[in-house]
Amino acid sequence: MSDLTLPPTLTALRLQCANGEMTPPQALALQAEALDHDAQWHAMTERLPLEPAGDPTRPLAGVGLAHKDIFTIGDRRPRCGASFTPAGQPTASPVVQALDHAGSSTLAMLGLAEFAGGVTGENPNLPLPCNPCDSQAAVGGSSSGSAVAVAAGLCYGSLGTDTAGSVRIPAATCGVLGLLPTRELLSRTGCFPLSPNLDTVGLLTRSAMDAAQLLANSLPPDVAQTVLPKLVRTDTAALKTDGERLHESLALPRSLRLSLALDHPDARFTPTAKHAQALTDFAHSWPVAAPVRQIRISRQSELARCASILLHVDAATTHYDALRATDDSLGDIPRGVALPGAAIPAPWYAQCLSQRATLLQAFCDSHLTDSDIILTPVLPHGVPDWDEVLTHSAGFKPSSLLGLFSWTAWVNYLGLPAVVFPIARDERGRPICVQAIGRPHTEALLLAFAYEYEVAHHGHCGFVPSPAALSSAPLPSKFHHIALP
Amino acid sequence: MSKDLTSSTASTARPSSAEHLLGWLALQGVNVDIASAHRLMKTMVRLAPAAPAQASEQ
Repeated sequence: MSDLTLPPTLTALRLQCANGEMTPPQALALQAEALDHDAQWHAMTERLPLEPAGDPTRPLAGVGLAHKDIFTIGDRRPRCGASFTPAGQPTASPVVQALDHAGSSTLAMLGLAEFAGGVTGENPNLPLPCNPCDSQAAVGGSSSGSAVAVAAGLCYGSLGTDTAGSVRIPAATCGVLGLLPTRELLSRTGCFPLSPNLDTVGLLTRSAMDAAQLLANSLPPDVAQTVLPKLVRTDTAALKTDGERLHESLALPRSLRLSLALDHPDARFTPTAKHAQALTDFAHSWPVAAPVRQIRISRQSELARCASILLHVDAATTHYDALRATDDSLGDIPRGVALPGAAIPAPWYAQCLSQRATLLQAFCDSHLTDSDIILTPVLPHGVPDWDEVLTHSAGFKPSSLLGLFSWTAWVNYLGLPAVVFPIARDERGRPICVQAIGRPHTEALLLAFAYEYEVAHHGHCGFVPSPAALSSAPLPSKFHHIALP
Repeated sequence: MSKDLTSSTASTARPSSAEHLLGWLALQGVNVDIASAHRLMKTMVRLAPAAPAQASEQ
């Protein structure tokens, strides 16, 4: 067993298990070993007991996962990055249960911004996470541990939550894929809330195909059949006989139409020339059915404002007792998110809720009738240094912090699906990511879009560089590249 | 614990000053200092419904 090494993607691991090159118990043991390297990354909050591998014929047999510490797993309640274990959430997450039922094992819980209330991994209750791309680079939040763990090769995939960008921002800072599904597609039950009107369970993975397989196995079968019809049959037996066709299950339609939005209503958050050029080059590299449309997002300021109001008021409701308490049970950052909600007039909040469906329809009419996918920046100025976004740092720049979610929060308000993935590297080697937004329930299209780019530029090795290519300390060594059939 | 903060506060208008906001929050049992109240007032200005010209942003 000591000669075995883990392949770079969950998909490749599944193929190896299906072909008998590795058994599920061997695979799980190696993945558990990979988690031993967390000491240098600070991604994990708790290691869970390694359960015996179950039925080897299940779709995700031998796949180990680690999730944001905001989900109830069995009887374990989430710590939420707090200084205490918060009450509530007695019901186990059905999304995790579905993944378990498909054969995966939850190996660890991962760090996050306190109560998911921050856009970086800053959390006074946890060690500062280290970005595997560059140790000086910030790690976005709130699903910071998930992004670090996936990028560092500690695990193949992780569930996170995204309220204003909390899956997409950390994914973009660490150069992995982040999927924000259509709002309410994945159940929020068993997930500690921040803003129930915006919270969305999402995924971080090393590969688009990995995300598709985790999503297909996270959903009730009838829903999975609708969302990802070509993937639901890829159980172990099918893989064994039909593995070479797996990549065809995420085939991209040839009639693809793209729009590109670069201008932000707040000039501070229009991307730099370098980032704008990278996105433009990326958009024009596709063999699309019509010229790429340059657009401005209609009413982007209003959408962002509505997202902020819902976030603040819902957070105030979630943490109402803590806001009234005289102790410090709520840290400065989540308190700063919740406090404005106690002051916002009720009619503003009601209006944001009541006009959401109308604004969504108007958005789709304006932008998603003549286009299938809208491309935008994620981090308009690239991945910042930690020093710029740590709130108590001498070099703290509020605009750098605000820039992190300037292109993401309004998408949660509309409830649209989006995927982010790396398309280039800047002069410091940090990832430049794109955000691709689609109509509701177009997860298959968005993942196919990411997958086509991934395979064209990285083969079947996923988006993440091999650990040896990472600029920080090169661990773990259990991952190596292989080619799929 | 109130789980319906918006209806319990039931304010219909933005506080007119930091001092007003300070008192309003205190009535809810949320105590902040005056510096925080001033910062919150800036947030209220930023989140206020748009003027007609801004609302028509395309």
